[in-house]
Amino acid sequence: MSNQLAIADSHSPAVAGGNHKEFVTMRLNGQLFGIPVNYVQDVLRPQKIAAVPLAPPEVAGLINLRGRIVTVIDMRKKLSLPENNDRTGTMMVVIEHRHELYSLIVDSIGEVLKLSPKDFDLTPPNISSAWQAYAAGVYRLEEELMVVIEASSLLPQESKLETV
Amino acid sequence: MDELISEFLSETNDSLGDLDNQLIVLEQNPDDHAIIDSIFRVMHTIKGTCGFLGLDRLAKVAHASEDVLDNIRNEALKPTPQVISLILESIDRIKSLVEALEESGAEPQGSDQELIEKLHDCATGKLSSVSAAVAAEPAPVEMLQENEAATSDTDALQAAFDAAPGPEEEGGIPTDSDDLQALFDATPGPADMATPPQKADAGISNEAKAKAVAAGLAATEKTAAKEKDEGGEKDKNANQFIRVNLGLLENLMQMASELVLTRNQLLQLNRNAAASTFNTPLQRLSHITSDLQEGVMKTRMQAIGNAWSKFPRIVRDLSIDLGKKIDLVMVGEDTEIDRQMLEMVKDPLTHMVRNACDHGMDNPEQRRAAGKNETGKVTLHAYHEGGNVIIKISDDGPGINVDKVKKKAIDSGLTTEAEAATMSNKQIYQFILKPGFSTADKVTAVSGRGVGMDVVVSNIVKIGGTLEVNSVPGKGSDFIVKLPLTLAIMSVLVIETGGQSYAIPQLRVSEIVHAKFRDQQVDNTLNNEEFYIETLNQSKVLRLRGELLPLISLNEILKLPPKEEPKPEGNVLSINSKAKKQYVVICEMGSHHFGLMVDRVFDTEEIVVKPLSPMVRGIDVFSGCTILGDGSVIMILDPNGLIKTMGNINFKKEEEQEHKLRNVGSGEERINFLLFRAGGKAPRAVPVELVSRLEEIDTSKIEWAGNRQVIQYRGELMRLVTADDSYQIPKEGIAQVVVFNDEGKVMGLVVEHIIDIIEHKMNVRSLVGQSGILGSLVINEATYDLIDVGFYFSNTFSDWLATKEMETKSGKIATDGAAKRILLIDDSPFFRKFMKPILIVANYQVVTAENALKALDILEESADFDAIITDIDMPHMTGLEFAEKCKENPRLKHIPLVALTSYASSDVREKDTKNCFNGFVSKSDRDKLVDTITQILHHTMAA
Repeated sequence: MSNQLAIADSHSPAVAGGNHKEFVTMRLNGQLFGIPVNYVQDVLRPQKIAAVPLAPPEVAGLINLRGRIVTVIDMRKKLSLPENNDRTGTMMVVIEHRHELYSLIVDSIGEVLKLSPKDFDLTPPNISSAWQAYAAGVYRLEEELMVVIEASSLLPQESKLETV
Repeated sequence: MDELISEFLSETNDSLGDLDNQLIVLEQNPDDHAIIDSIFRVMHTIKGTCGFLGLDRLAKVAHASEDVLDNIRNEALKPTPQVISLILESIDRIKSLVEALEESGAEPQGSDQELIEKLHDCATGKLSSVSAAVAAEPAPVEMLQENEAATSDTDALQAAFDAAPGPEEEGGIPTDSDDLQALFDATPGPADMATPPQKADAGISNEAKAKAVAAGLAATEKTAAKEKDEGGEKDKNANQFIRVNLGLLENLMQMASELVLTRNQLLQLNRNAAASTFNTPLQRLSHITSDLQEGVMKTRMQAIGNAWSKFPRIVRDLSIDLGKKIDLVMVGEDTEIDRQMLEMVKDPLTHMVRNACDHGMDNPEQRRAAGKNETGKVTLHAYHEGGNVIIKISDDGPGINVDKVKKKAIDSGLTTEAEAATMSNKQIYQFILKPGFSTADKVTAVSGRGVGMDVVVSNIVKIGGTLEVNSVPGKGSDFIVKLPLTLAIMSVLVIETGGQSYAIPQLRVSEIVHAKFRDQQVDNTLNNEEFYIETLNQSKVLRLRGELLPLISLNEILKLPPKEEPKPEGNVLSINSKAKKQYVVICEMGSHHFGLMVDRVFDTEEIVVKPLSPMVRGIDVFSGCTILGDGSVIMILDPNGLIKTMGNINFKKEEEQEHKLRNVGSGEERINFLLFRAGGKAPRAVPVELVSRLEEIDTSKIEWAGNRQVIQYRGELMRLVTADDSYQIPKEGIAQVVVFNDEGKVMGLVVEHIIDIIEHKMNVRSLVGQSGILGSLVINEATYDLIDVGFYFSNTFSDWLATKEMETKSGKIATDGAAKRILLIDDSPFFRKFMKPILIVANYQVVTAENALKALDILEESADFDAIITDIDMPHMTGLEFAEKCKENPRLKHIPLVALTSYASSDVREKDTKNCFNGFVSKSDRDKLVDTITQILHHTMAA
């Protein structure tokens, strides 16, 4: 992690004022990915989740965040990744989408990175199909690639208007 | 502002609110002196106070109106619709003056001369000439009915009084969108008088404001109202209410919830600490917190009636404009709904009510031709159901014309002919909710431009609701608005299954039983104290007081792992493995009953329903979720959804419901019985309805009067009887007495002891020929003798019903197969209740009605009766009028009619029966009644 922090530091002063974007970084099954920081409302430790029987498999359940109901999404299930055996670093990242709160369960959470647009690239077509659907592109970091996750693509789209 | 004036404002606003509706009531009941007096008083008070305060304009208008009212009161003037319109107009003027006064502290400039002159003319009986004069105005004639004409003195007044046509419309058909919007947005409130409507938006906010003030809670973000507030108006205390920003309330609510959670944590900590000094203050904190939370929640809830208060007026005005006769019936006005929701749903509702009057209702001629009552009925019905607020707008008009809708939909390109051909009626009705759709043949001032229903739908969808259309040709249409209870408070029962808690709306839970699995090998004897779960063709059922209820396992429905064996410390009692016990929550959804098997049952809790997130919204069995006091999230089960899941379980559903409808009042109906012992071998039963009260008497105080035992009871003598000779009233001590009362005749039946009151079917079997006993009832496998109260009455009071011979003739039972259906109409509740068992015992199914109008309603629903027995002397409509009505109606004229009367004279009998009645019975002769009916039925069947 510290090396990433170093990267962030080395970049920021030089290109400050550019079209930089900040991302909260997380890991899932070893892969680094990021969500724009302005989406993220909160980061929570794992807590008791009220399961919702009959819900889609990726819905882990509901939690109460300061009086608001938050739908918890198990990212591994959402991306059809294998179960995580090591739960030590598990965290929940709360994002808001269409006035609803969602919380994503990820394996671990990393630094907030400020990244320059020059490092941005479109999603390579050979990236695993699980990620493909939700990736908005990748950033070339020194050590590895960071997938940018389009948070809204994980979540329900415009709810259908019920007229009947 | 002068303190006197603000007091006057507060008082006047209160009384003006009621006046609209009172006047409409008056219009319908022109002879109701109480209402005239009350209206007169209000007007008189306003006049007096205004004069005293030097409010000249108000005083003059009130004075002129008072003159008119005075004439109505003296019966010099009839309260015709024209007159009422004029008075309503003057009330609108008073309202607008009061409003202006409230804002500026002084009466606005202007003259009311025209209105006053009209009132004078009216008071002196010259109204008709006024109408004629105004009718000559260059307005399109078909848009102005007489009454409307009388009111159109200025454009602004017209707008305020006459809801439908905006001021622009007199010039022709409006085309720009503002006008259309104005049409949808309905009634510009009286506020518009002070500030003439610049555009539709201002209209809404004024209206909203007027309502908010009236309703007592206000938070209007709308600009006009805000401007007024910011205008430094500090003296506005016409009501003891202030306006609060809705966001602020929302915040308060959030914080109150947080406070509750924190309080709970504190309590938890304190419980763990031994002998804490914090105990007392924590208790107080706890109470205050609860009260605070409750209070804050309440601030958001309002009775839906607040949004309806304007409707009687709207419907009345519309019915005059449209030349129809329409009654508005409102049911469930006190159904509480979130304030914000109320505000949002008001305009769509207004629109739908107008639509119901305009499109939905047929005119009197058409109604007459269809054999319906000339006066149509628009019903608004609000209630809570399954975590939703349902608002139903029904009319009894001709229904939606499917072909017309279909044609229009095809013409306007909404669908193709081929598509339309495959659609169900219900699908076709949905077209009327599409933009630009209107089935009205011509555009009227009220509706018909096809703006509206689509706006209504989008407004309802905006607040998460749905709109459903149903229609039965010839019977009318229903528009059903279903709104979620986003913030509504609900009481729930918390249960646990599969290690997790769930909530069930308390409203749906009728009881909880702890039932045993029945193991045929072990015990075959049924113990009455216990409830058994049995297996029927692999479905589990519960035997509950003689009824079989289908059971659902919550575990199975939620696809949770099967329940683990109960641990010894668990709440589930385990006597031994063979006598496993199971908690069953009995749920009730209308006519559907079922048992829900759960692992544990906890407490009930008051909760705020939160909507489900879109990801889990589609799950039928959940209606929402909530946060409990301890901060945990819990799902709310929807019994409606649970029922759907057991589609394969065959249990009496619609058929049963239909059966119930058909058999209103038949032997299937459940009534309450008082069970008691009073000598004899069998315990006795009597319908609770007949009992006036239960008393205990000191038997040493019993006195004799002649050869009867009496006791002083409430300053009178009560005659005492025993059920039969096998029981003697004890000489000393306290005895229980069942008191019956009929028109001042009080009789006490001394009993050994009261057993219970139980609800049961009226499945009487008549077998005994014993006096005083109508028959036997089997309740929970025990037999009770149903006593004949009439027998005791006639024995005790020789003049009661002037009975000739009171032996029960149990041999007179109509013996032919299926029970005949009889409609019994009598205004005396006692007589109805008394007659019913007698007829039931004689193997008739009985439906009762307390007056002829009710009876006509029942017959409207179903004409499936074999005979009608009606009293002659009844309020509203006499038996004779009723009989004539029946004979005029082709659906009803074949039903034999039997007249009941207390006249003893046979002259009356001859005259009446010849025309309409097939038989005639004296009320005092109940045996003959049964005979007559049997004969008549026999006769008609033979013919």
